[in-house]
Amino acid sequence: MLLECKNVYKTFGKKEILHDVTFGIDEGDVLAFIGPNGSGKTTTIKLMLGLQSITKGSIFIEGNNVESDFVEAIKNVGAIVENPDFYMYMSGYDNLLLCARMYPNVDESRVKEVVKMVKLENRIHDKVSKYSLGMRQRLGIAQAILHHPKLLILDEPTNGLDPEGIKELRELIASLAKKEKMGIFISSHALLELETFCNKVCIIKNGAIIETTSVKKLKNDIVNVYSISCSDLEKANQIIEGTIIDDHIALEIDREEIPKVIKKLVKANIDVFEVKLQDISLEDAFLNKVGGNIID
Amino acid sequence: MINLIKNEFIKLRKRKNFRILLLILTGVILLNTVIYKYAYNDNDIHSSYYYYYDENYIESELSSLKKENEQTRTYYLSLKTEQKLLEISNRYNSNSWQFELIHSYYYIFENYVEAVEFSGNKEAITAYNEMIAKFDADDWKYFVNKDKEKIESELEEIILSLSNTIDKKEIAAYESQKANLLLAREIANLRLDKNISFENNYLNRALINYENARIQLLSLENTDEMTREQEQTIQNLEEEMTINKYIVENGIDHFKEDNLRGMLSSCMSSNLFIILVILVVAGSTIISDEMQKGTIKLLLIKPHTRNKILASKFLVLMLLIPTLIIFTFVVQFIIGAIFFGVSSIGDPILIYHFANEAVFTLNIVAKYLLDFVLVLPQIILLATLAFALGTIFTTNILGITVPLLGLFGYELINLVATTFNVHILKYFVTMNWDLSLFTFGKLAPMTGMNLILAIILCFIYLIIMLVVSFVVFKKRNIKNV
Repeated sequence: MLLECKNVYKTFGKKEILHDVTFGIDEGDVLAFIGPNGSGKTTTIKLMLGLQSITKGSIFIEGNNVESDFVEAIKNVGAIVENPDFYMYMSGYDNLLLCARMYPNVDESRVKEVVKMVKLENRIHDKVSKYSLGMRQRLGIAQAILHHPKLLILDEPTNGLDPEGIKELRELIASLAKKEKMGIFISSHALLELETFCNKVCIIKNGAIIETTSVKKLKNDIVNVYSISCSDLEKANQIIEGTIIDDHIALEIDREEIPKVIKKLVKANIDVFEVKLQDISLEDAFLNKVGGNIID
Repeated sequence: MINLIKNEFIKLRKRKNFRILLLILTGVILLNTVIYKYAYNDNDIHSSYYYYYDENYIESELSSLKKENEQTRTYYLSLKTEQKLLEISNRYNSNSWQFELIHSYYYIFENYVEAVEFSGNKEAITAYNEMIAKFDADDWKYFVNKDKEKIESELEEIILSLSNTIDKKEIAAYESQKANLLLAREIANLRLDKNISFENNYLNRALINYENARIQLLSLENTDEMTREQEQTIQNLEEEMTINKYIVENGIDHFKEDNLRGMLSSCMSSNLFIILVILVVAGSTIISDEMQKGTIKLLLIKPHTRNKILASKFLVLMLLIPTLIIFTFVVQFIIGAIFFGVSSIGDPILIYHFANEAVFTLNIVAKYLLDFVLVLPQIILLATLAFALGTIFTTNILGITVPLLGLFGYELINLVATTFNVHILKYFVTMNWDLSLFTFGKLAPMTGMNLILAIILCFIYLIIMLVVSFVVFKKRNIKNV
C-alpha cells in the first residue's frame, strides 16, 4: 500500500482534532477526502506530511513511518498544504528552481516541462506577488509533481480556479493517476468537482471518518432532489408535501414522478414556473443524511 | 546541504528589505566619508591661547583710561600687553609654531610694554626684540635651547639640594622635581633630534601627548596600594605614552582620521552597529518570516530533516557575517579612495601590546581582520540571539527588538558590573563578548576574567541558544496560517 493511516489521533491540549482516523491509498487510486470546514482535513494532511506530530497511531508512506523515518517516507511525496504559499518576491520560475534544488534528481528541463503541464508558460517569469490565486494553485501543483512523486497530496486544489481551470486540473490529475500510476489524495468540501475521476471517497466529520466507500456506492445511496418554483408556495406544498426553502419547494422524488406532480399542481390552479434537478453534491447529500459539522 | 545553503542565499539576496539595508550601509559609509572630508577639523589638540578681549574692546577700554593714573596702571598695562600679543599673533598662521609659542613668553611682552610705556628698561626691550627676531627668522630651536639651559641649571640646583639633605620628605619632593626636569630635558632633546617644532602638527601633538602621559604616570608612580581602576589608568597611560613615542620616533601620522588609512582603520568600529542591525534583521526573519507566511511548509515537506533545514539557515547567517565584513571594507575602500586617494594606505597601524609594553605594527587589512576577530563573539552572539528568538517564538518583532535592546543597553550593564563590582555579572555575556578588553595582556575589567574564560563563556551561550532553537524547531507543530 502507498499510504496507510492507522488509527490516528491528534489532540491540541485537551481538544481532540482527529479521532481514530484510518484509511489507505493504493497506486493509481484517487481518494477524495471530503468534509466541511473545521472537520480536520488539513490537520490530517499535516500529519501525513510530518508537519505536526501524531498524538497516537501511525502513518506509513511506502512502508516508511512518517515520524521515525521522515526523509525516506517523504521522498516520493508531492503536496500542496492549505494555500499554495510561495516566496512572493521571486518569480514562479525561481520558486520552482528552489524546490527543484531540494530534490536529488530534478533538473531545469523538468522544471520547464512541469510549467508546460500546468500551462503557466506565459507568466512563469513574473513575480508570484502578481499571480492570482488560481495561478498560484497551478504553481503549487507544478512544485508538487516536479520530482515524479508516487503520492500526490492536494489540499483543496480547486480553490480559486475558474471552471476552465477546474476542468484542466481534473484532466491533469486523471492523467497523472493513469499514466504515472500516482496515488492521489485530494481534500475538498465540494465533491462534485472531483466525483468524475475519484474512485474512493472518505468522509470526515468532527475529526472522525464516518464513511469510507467507493464513489459508485455513494452515488447509489443518493436520491434526487428537485426544486419547484411556483405561485402560492403554501398551497402547493400541501399538495405535494415537500419542504419550502426560500422561494421554492424542494422535493425528493424519482424522475418518473415529475409529470404527475406538475399535473397535480396545474389542476389546483397553481402556476408552475420552473422544475429543475438541484446541483447537490455527493457529500452534501451525505451530510444531509448525517447532519452538519459542529465546529467547537 | 549545499543546495539548501544556496537556496537560503538566493532567498536572502532577493528580499527587498535586505537590499535596502545594504543600501543604507553603503549610504552610511558614504556619509561618514563625506563628513570626514569636508566637515572634519583635526586641530582638536590645539594648545593655543584663547583671546578673551577683541581688539575693539581693548581699544575702547584704553581710550577711557589715563596712562598717568596710578590706580589703573596695572589694568592699563595688561590691556596694552594683550594688544601687543594680538598684534604679533596676527602676523602668524594659527597653526604656526610662533603662534603656539607666543603665550609661553607673556612675561617678555609684559616687561616690554612696561619698559616702553614707563621705565624704559633696556634689558626688557632687548629681550623682546631678540624674541621677535627669532620669530621672524623661524628659529624655534633657539627657544628650545633656551629652555634646555634653564632646565640644566635647575637640575644642577636640585642635585645639589639632594646631596645636602637627609630628610625623607624633602628627598621625595626633590626626586619628584628631578624626574619632571629630566622629562622636560628629554622632550627638549627629542624636539631637537627629531626636528619637531611647536607647529600644530601630528608630531608636535604626539610629543605633547607623550609628555602629558609621562607627567601623569610620574604623579601615580609612588601610589602604594593601587585600585584596579588605577591600574587600568596606568595601563592606558602607558599605552598612550608608548604609542606617541613611537609616532615621534618613526614619523607615522597614526591618529589622522581624514584619509583612506584613517577611514579604513576605524571602518569596523564606525560600521559595526549597522552591520549588527542587518544581521539581527536577517537572523530573526530567516525562520520567522517563513513561519508567518507559510512558506516553511515548502521546505519541511522536502526530503530533508528539520535539523538540516535549520542548520542550513544558521550557516547562511554565519556566512553572512564575513560577507558583510568584506562588503563593508570594499565599499569603504572604494569610497575612501575616491575622496582621499590611496597614498596614505602604506603607513602601518600601530597596536600597543600591553604585556610586552611595546608597539607592533599591522597593515590596514590585518588591522581590520584583528578588529573583526575581537568583536566576532559579539556579532555571532547577537545574530544567534535574533535567530534563536525568531525560531522559538516565530515572530520577528521579538527577534529584532531584544538583540537591539541588548546592543543599546549592554554598556550600561557593563558599567553597573564594573562600578559596583558585581561579581556575578562577570560571567554575563556582555562582559565577555568584546575580546579587545582582554587581548595583548590588557588588564580585564574585573578580577578573575581573562581571554580564555571569555571565549569559553561566549561558546557556552552560543551552544545554549542553538540547542534550544534546534529542539524547539524539531518539535514544532506547523500551525495553520
